[in-house]
Amino acid sequence: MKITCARGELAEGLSLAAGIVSQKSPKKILKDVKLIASSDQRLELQATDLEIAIRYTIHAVDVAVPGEIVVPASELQAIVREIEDGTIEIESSEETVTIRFGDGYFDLMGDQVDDFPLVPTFDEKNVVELTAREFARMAERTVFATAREKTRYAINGVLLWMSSERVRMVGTDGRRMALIESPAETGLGEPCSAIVPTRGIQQMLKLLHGDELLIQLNIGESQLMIRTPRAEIATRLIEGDFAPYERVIPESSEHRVELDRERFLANARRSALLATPESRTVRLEFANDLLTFKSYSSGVGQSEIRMDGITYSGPPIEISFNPDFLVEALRVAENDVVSLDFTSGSQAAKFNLGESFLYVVMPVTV
Amino acid sequence: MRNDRLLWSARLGSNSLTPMDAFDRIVGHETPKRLFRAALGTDRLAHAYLFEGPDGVGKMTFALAVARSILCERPVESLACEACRGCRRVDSRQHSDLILVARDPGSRQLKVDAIRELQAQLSLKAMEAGARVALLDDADRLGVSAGNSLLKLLEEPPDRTHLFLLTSNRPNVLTTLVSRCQVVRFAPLAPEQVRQVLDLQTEHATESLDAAANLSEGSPGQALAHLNDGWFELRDWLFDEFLAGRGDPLQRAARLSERVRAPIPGEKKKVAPLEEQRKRLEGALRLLLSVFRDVRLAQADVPVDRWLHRDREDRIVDLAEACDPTWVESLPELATEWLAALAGNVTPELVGERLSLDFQIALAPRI
Repeated sequence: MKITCARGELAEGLSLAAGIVSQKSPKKILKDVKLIASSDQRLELQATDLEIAIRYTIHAVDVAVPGEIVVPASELQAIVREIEDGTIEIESSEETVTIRFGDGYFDLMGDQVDDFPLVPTFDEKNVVELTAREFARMAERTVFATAREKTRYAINGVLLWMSSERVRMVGTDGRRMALIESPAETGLGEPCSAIVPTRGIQQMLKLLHGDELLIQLNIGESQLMIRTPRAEIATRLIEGDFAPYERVIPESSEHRVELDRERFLANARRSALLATPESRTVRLEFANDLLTFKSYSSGVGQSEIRMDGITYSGPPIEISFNPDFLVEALRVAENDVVSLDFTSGSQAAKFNLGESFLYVVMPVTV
Repeated sequence: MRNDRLLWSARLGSNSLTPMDAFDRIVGHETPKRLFRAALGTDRLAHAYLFEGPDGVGKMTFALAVARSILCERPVESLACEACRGCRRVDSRQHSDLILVARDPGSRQLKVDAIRELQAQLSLKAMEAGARVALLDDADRLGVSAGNSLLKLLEEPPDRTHLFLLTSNRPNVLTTLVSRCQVVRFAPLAPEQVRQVLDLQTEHATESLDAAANLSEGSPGQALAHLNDGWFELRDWLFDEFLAGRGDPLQRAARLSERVRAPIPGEKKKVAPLEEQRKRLEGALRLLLSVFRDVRLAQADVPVDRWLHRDREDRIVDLAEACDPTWVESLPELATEWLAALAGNVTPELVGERLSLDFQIALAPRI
């Protein structure tokens, strides 16, 4: 392989690739980046940690000899970052890769090209289009609700469901659930779904920067692929069945309260200060246009915070929540006034937090 | 050392009449070969196997051969083609769907984190081949929580996943784990078979290969280790310095301790890490045991060709004359105590002293 290209473009691609390579895997090859120079004057960078993979294409590269090399990603990235701006020449011989720049050269030991994992290619069929901003919006509003304990794999990720008109994401940890929907720019014939690991979603968000760019999504056999004009990113999917989330959404409820989001969030946070770490509980008492937050921490103290001016006219009713569940959801809520639908202190409560953005929480029963 | 294990799977002569398959590359182990040829051929592979057999006998080599057959891109009659990219990457242990679980270097136990990491990886769909293979070495070194974690995995194995647990110490493997695995026993190889492997693998002189094969207790890995890690030199040292007649037992202990504590060449620390010291002392202990096994055979007039250390016949005969047969007979019992002490956190120095004192009794001129 022998290529010449501008330093800046290569540096950008390599910094993305270096962010993906595995730091801790015993497989040395996962610390590497693969460079593929093709005769149509393109250079492709590939990197993967086996959970997430990227293909990044640099156009307008002068390819003198097409070929493939595999070299340690962090070293190559550091070299390209540190050398002066201008053009770089990369040439491979049998075992080493030479990087020539204005004032000198670096020789890097390459690894076996064959050992590098197969990075999946984008499947042109079954593609859904969405703006990067919308994808990021949906992800941020569901990822927080996914399970954190490492033992419940099927809900250690976000359910992604795509149909002819809509894209839906669902995150749950078994005690609460966030569901958001958005119309797709271009949809699918057959609906399909997949569970995308939380880590994979977070990595994708880093690479996407929420802007108006249209991205393409495809759910494959074992990975979710996202394509932008420059890069293709694949995330391995979680094996297993997602929780039957639709059953959790209460069909009807007896009471509805409208609440100012900012005041509700502030009071939930204040009240949480005296909720014990062992039993994170805050009691909400509704009575005649007044909401009272009560929390109690054994041996520490208690709190009572009143929030008036709400619209509630039913009988006095109490419902207890884990305050963290409220705070985390209200932080990503979109409406200034959120509504809460509930029936009793022992049945699931439903929040409407934004456009097609639902949040269902199981109360804490003491 | 681990990386050397694959070495003896090098291709045997290609003059056999039937075409070679994945297992023909492996010397010996005919029963496991039959079992896996049948299981792979009928697509009836169990989800979990326990490979038990002595260290270095070829369990990992064999497991990798099975892994190649599972992950091969162009299998020939359900067995590995040995040529495709999949097979090559299993050999270099870089395949995306091959998961290797091993102890951290320097740690005596396989930690629960390693099992959790395995679970996390298995919770994802297979990367490329559709099936996945996990190889877990030292299954006897699992802590309680690691064992329970693994148990959960064995009880609800993910689809198309094959787990191979490897152990050289089956009694120490949790019985609950054993009962959920199909157990495959790897018997020691005959000395000729070990020799066959060594011929393919090393370029040492023929006579040291013979000695290594004889002394390997049927394990090519041991034989290779002996050839490469100064085992023969250790044996000479034991004969010349440790077992040589008189001397103050404490001086004897000091000499042993010095040897055990010597820094690892090329490392900064002036004393070898404790785990390394334990390993060295255990190596010396086991070597002493095998020497005294021969001493006992000599005392019982068993012909020389049955001895392990027959290349040092003169030394064995000297010891047989010098030592009290009753003591030699009681040695295995003593050794169990030393090894238990060593495994149970008694410092290597202390075990070394105890050892020297015990030997002093045996080697002191009889009155």
